[in-house]
Amino acid sequence: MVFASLIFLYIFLPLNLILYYVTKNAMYRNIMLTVFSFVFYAWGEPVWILLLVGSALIDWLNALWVDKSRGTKWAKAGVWSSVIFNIGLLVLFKYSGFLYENINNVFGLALAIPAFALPVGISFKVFQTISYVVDVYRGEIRTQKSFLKYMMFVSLYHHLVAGPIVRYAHIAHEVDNRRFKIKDISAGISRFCIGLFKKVCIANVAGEFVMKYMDGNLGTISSLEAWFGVIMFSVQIYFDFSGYSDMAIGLGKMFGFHYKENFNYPYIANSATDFWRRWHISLGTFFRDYIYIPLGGNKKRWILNLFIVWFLTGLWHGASWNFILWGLYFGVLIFFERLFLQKVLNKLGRFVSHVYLLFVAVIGWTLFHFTDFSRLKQYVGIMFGNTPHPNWSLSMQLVLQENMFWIALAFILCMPVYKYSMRFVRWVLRFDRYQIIWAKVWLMTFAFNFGVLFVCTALLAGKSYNPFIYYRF
Amino acid sequence: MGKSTRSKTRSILAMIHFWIFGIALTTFGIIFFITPKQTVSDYEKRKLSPFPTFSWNSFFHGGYIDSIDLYVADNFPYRDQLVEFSFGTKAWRGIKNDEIAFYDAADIKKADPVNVKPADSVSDTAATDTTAGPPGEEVNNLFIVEGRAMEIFGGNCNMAQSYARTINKYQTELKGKVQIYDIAVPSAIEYFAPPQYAKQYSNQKKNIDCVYGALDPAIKGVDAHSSIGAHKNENIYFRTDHHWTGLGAYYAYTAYCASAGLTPLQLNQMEHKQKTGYLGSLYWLTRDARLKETPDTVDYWKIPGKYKTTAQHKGSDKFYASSIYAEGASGANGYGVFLGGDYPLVKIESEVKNGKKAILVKNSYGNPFATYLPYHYETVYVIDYRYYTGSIAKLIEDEKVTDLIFLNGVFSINTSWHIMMIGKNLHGVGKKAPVPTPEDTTKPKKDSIIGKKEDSVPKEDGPKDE
Repeated sequence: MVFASLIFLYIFLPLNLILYYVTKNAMYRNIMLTVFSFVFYAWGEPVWILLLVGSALIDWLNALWVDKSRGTKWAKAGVWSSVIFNIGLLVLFKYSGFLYENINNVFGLALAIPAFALPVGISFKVFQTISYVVDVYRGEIRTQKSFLKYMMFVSLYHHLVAGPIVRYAHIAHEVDNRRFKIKDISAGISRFCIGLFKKVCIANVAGEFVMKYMDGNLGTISSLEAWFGVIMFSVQIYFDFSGYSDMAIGLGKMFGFHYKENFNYPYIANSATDFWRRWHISLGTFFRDYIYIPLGGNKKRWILNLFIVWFLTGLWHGASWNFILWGLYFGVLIFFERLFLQKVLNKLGRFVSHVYLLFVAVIGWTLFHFTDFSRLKQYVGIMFGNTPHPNWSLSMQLVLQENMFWIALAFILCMPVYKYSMRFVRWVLRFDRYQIIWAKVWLMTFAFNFGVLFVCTALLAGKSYNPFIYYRF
Repeated sequence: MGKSTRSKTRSILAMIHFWIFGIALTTFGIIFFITPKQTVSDYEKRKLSPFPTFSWNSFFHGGYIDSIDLYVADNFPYRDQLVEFSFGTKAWRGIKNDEIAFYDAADIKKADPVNVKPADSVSDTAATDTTAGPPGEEVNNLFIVEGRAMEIFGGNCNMAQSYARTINKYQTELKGKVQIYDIAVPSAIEYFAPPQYAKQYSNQKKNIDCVYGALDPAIKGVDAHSSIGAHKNENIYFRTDHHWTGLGAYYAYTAYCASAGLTPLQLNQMEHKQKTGYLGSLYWLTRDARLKETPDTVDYWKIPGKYKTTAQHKGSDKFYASSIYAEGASGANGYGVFLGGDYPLVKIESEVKNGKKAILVKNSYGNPFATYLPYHYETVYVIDYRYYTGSIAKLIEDEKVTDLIFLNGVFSINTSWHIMMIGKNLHGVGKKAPVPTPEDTTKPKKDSIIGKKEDSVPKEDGPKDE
């Protein structure tokens, strides 16, 4: 299931809220959340529920084992067992096809390529559980003794399918005792609506343009259209992903969990290094804490460590060479920034470094988008002028004209407008003796949320509109 | 105001927020469950997804659940109004050009109704209704200029000649048995696109000349192009639909009569009837407000005389009673007034006794044209080559048919699927029309870039109703 769907909004979510809050019994609530998470997960392919439960059980037992044999060499064995098991799952389901393909290519073999379907959210789940077992080993958290609670943590539908990568350490306390706070729920609803808006009103619309220019017939587009296409892809991927994270954070709040932020306005960054501190933060910190630093971090062989991390970051995004290339591309950029580029950028000033970042990010998204290298080559060629079509055409003009407000809105929302307006509101509220301003802000939020809900419902219903010229009765 | 009162007020407001939000969601959910469900959508010309029947296989592989998604999306309360509203929001995105709009075929023909993958088993899923059907070609790119929607024509001479060669095969085979006519019908853009946009589309006159130039000299090519063009100021093409009007077809009919040596009926010899407020296919594809402002009128002229009309339905050999004018046709189906829509074979018998019998081979473009013919023939057979499975050669032999007329719009003439189907009709295509392998029936697509869920989605292309 996905959050931005009618069935989730109008059937799944209200049922979940009602059945969750109908009693105060903590055990009952945990069961409810787990059951609903299972249903949510099963909505993709029910068969993967077995995998989810099975692997959660193994990780849970591993953590207990690590805890029990603490101080002995067996503790480490527990960690390795969990790491190998999880990475094994990932390799089996996500990378086996890719591995076989490459083995076939390198050795000229024709091994049958295994065709496993990818269980939804496995990349996120694997990192979540690895961090749990490792944190138990490091003594940073206490083991969760209840399998139900652990199962609930792993399967929580808020973050299971598309992140953020929620570490057990961050919500351990809330797994055991969540408190009902009406203000949290209210804030959660608002946050969810923001995410829904980002996904449905911005990302989905940008996606239409991406389809048209990047996934369409490359023989018919101009340079300008190619740039427009990839800029729209940059918009789409940011709003899609951060919208999803917002919805996850909002849902978490509705049920008493506080997840960490996953994005911090990445497109206002002024270097690749800065970009990655702001983009998919939970992934970056995972690689830092569980790969980069254990490998030796900045102290030992940092160049090798850096490239290992960026190779893996690329690979994590998908089983295809273009993702690896994309990861290494950022590795190289960050490498040069550490050597000298950052100093140069600092000298050149904020504006230039910001333009630099946007340029490299957009080029990066081109690498990210095309799994087919011949199309990638062709597309980059078109971007840099290798096309017979003139930049300015009637259809380009109409596309820009008919979407100018939307484009402006999308660009503005890449900037921390919300953050600063909230800061402003808080400042104003200091003088708000009689709650009048506060009431106004509340009313505006309220109106925004319902406006978003209504518009998104209509847009989602509009997606099902599928007219035929030819009768299909 | 003290801190505690402040905190209390805020809690109360948060409570109200939560309750109203919860109630809004729940209410819609409840309305969804209790409202009666429609089975078809007239606007979209398709069946709405029914609730799927359960099977373990389909359940475990996700097909069952995907069908539930489709069902919910298709049967959501107030869906028509919400869809209408969602199209309205497009106007907020920027400034519409008053004069012109451009619609990319890919934008209006969504391959991906609700982001679900096609079910594995065909029998128990709702998805099949939207995915099945022979692939022909897709909707073409559209122009909207001054309240008129027009498909952008991109045909070329090679394709047109390939169409002509197919008609020539009939001539070679049926030499001496029938007189063959070919009527190539231009589309609206040929007459109504402002000259400044001429670069955006191909010239249809040239394309039709390619057809006629390649025809066997024994075949008579009918010059509908200039006959229709002489009446540019009349209502010869719908503004909101991809078809021509009854009047446009009438002028093609007069051209045909000139070519076949018949005296055409004058308009005032026929009973003129009208249906107002018609919004056609191109409106429903784009939902463009500029089209809605000026709906079309469906005009039809009833020929004098008494006729017996029967029609074969798809997938059946039997003839059922039918009529030349389906006067009940209404709403989005207004064009259905001509012949009542598309049947594989319609047989119209008149009281005329002149020994002449005709076969008209057509798609929906030919329907209004067909209504004028029965006046001149003992029997007219109207064959829709997309559905007819019999052999035209045999029908000519058996029924002693004298005239064989091919009528096609330029879009069909320039589409290989249509050419192929016409070719196959010469000797019949057997019980079931062959379905050519689509180039790419499934295309992986993701709902969410980060969802990592690779969804392959059905791509619907069916034979286009020309």
